[in-house]
Amino acid sequence: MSDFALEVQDLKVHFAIRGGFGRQVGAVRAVDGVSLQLRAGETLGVAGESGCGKSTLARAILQIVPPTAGRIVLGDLDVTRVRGLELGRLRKRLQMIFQDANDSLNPRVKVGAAIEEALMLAGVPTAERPHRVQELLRTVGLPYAFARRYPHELSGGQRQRVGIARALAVGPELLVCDEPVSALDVSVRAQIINLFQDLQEQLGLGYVFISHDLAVLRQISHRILVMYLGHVVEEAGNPQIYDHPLHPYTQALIGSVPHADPRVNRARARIRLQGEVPSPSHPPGGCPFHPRCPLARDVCRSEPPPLREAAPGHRVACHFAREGIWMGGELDGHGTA
Amino acid sequence: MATEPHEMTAFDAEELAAAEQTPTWRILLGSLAHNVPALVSALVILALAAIAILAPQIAPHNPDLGYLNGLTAQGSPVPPGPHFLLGTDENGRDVLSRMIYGARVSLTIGILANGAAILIGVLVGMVSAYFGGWIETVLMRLTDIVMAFPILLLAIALIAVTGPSMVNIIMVISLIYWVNIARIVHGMVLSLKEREFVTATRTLGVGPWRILFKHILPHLSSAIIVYGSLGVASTILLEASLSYIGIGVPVPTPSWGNMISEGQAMYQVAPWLMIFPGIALVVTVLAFNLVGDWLRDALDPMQEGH
Amino acid sequence: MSSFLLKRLGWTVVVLWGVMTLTFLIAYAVPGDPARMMAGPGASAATIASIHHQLGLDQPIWSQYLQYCLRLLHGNFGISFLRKVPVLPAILQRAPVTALVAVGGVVFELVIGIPVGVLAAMRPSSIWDRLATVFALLGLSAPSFWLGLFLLYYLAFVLGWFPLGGIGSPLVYYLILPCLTVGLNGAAWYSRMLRSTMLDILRAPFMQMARAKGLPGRILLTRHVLPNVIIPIITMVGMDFGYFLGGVLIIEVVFGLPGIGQQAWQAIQVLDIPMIMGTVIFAALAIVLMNILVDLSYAIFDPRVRL
Repeated sequence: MSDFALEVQDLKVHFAIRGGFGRQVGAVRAVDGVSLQLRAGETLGVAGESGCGKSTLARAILQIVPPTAGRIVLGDLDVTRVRGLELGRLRKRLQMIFQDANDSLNPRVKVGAAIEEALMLAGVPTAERPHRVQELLRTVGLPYAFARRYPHELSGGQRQRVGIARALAVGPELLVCDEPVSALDVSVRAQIINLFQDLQEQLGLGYVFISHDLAVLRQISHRILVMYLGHVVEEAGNPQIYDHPLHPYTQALIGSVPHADPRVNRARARIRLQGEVPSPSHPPGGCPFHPRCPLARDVCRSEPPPLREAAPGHRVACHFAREGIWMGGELDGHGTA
Repeated sequence: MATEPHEMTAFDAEELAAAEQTPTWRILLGSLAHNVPALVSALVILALAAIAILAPQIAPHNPDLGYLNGLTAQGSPVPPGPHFLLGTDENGRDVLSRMIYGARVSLTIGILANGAAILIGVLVGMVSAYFGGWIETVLMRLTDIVMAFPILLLAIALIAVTGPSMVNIIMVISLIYWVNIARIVHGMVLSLKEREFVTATRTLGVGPWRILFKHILPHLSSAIIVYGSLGVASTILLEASLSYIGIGVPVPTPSWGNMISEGQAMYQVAPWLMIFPGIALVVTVLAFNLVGDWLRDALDPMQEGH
Repeated sequence: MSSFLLKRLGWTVVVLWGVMTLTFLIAYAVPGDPARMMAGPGASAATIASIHHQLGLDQPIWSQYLQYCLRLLHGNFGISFLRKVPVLPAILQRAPVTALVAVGGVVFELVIGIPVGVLAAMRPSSIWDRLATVFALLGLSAPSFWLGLFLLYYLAFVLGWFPLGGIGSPLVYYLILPCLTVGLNGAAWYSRMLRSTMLDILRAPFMQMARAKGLPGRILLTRHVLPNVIIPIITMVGMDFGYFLGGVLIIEVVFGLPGIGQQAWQAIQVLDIPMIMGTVIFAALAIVLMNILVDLSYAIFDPRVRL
């Protein structure tokens, strides 16, 4: 039915705020209408500051938090609100890598045992398990001897590798990675990113890769989604979004990433954002970004901009996306859709 | 094909060195060596266990037999002397032998009742905290209701209904003492279930019972050990009080508690009858309290130092 | 009224209901026939049958339960097997003595426990702290009845300073030893709790701030420490009230005081179930009442809780 490995349609995740006596008095709109598509073997990067809803998005896809509205489709299977056995089937195809490998591994459980437990879920017979553990550890670049260790006896990067091995043990085709390298030292980060890429090549895995660090996403993503306050504000392919960002927010984010070419750096106007991210329980009306946007006009305050295709494969949610505010960079070939 | 083996950077080596720790039991033993009261208490407990197990071998006399030379010419108990080391009671029975067998009774009841209470309490605490909802409400309210009763009176009422016997006493005490542990475990599991490894394990698809027993229970081990010791102190005291009142271990089986109540009547002529069993109680309970306190201090900082 | 108090009251009702139900279940589980026990060994079958009917024992369990609850709510706690009198009035008649011992016990608990706890907290790890810990541990480890017997033996029998139990005039003379025993046991627990509570207060950031300001010790104590320690002092009296009550009852047996505990003890010897159960319910009610008082005191003394 669908040629996407994973498709999310207009997903909303709202958390109720309860007053006295359990009445609902408001809602935190953590994810407010997000759609995305992921092809098999590709990486979709999700960028944004904290509080934009990317972690909630990840958890909703995996049914760790229940979606309030929208659809999640895995291949040709609608998995939006699955329970029980179907949920088990979902989790065999889709797994999650967590940010803090220190806390996502049980400190009282040996590394090998943790991986074996995942193998048990995958239906691997007991006799085969040690062999598979060894294979998995080797796949993520760890010696078999580590199976006997506890998480605190490993370094941060090694722990994250174990987390990956554990997730791979159930044999998923897709991984949702929630800031998997943010807690690691810079020197280790590159190694883990390489590992992700190698695994993608070998096993044909698809990734939804969440990170606030655009430099990281640049290395690994095929396409990138930028989120703000629960909405998607821009979506484009990897080189395009860095070379020609259209949304003011994206431009601000990218502007803070140093470009390899110092001439481009000097030529860029630094877009400074005013103010702080508003609370997701009281989002501003109209375009969610308008209070901080240097381009904001009246229409931005009243009407939320739809996500429109501004160029092939490049979508933006902004009324004035055409008007770039780059000095020196050129916006060529980007007319109205 | 695999990626290249992970090569250690300088950061890795440092982290690893800092992370390796000596095993738990070695830390515990080291701390014990420095803590004289706890060390002595631990030895006392071991000695008591030995006495209880070897009672038939070490008791100098038969605890149930009234000896002819156990009573003076006037028919009153014999004070402590060479033949009866701790004297005799009003029936001519040897106090020391009775106390040795009494150790058996007190320790057995104390340890078994506490063990059962821990079992029930941990189960209730884990299930109520992890599953939440009405299960949690019902179980926690039940805990509150049981806690509303004065412990001693509730025990009395229950035993009055079931009849005093060792088995019933153990059962009744455990049905009362589980509440403390349940409260504590409930609190611990409430915070544990928010930890990321629980979320991660659930996402993998592991079932709730496996998570409870294989993942959460190990984190409760310190609390269980501490309560294993402190709880025995309380259960021994409770059994002694019940026996003193007359609704505990039935005579003629010697329990330190009922020895005191029997000896009370003769306090004017034979004060040792109530003094010695009392000292035994104080020493035993104190030992368990000290060991429990030491365990609590020793295990606490290590909880998540891991 | 604040939702806090409402919730607590609602809570209390549930607990009371639970107490009633639990005691009913226990009483119902008694093996043997209460009618037979009431009638005595030589009664005829007809007498037993009529007592059965009187007591409503020939009705289904839920009907008995309802009647039981109704009776309780009307203050009918049943009739004692032993003395053939209504249970509740008998208990209430003896309540004053028990109350006196309890109050006296609390007085001793506070008089001994507060200084020991405070001193230990103000000079942690000093010789005073060590002594306080020893005192507390011994007090916690000694069974209260044995402590009472010990004091009775040495202070009353050997030294003759106090009467050998029982009650008479002047009241204080007869009550000092029992109250002291109860108080010592309580003080052991209390001093430890107070010590750890005070240590928490003394180490709190606001205290460090006050000390950094250079305030003299006296002002520190009265203006900063005291208001924070009042609440725990009061609430802790209520915390182990259940245990405390049990201690009071045992001490009555040891010293032969004509209170609720001694009456219960007599009932135990002959398995007078109504009296035992009645005492249990009464005590549970007392504890629940105590908890309400503790909550009220929170509301009064803790400015964060709005009444």
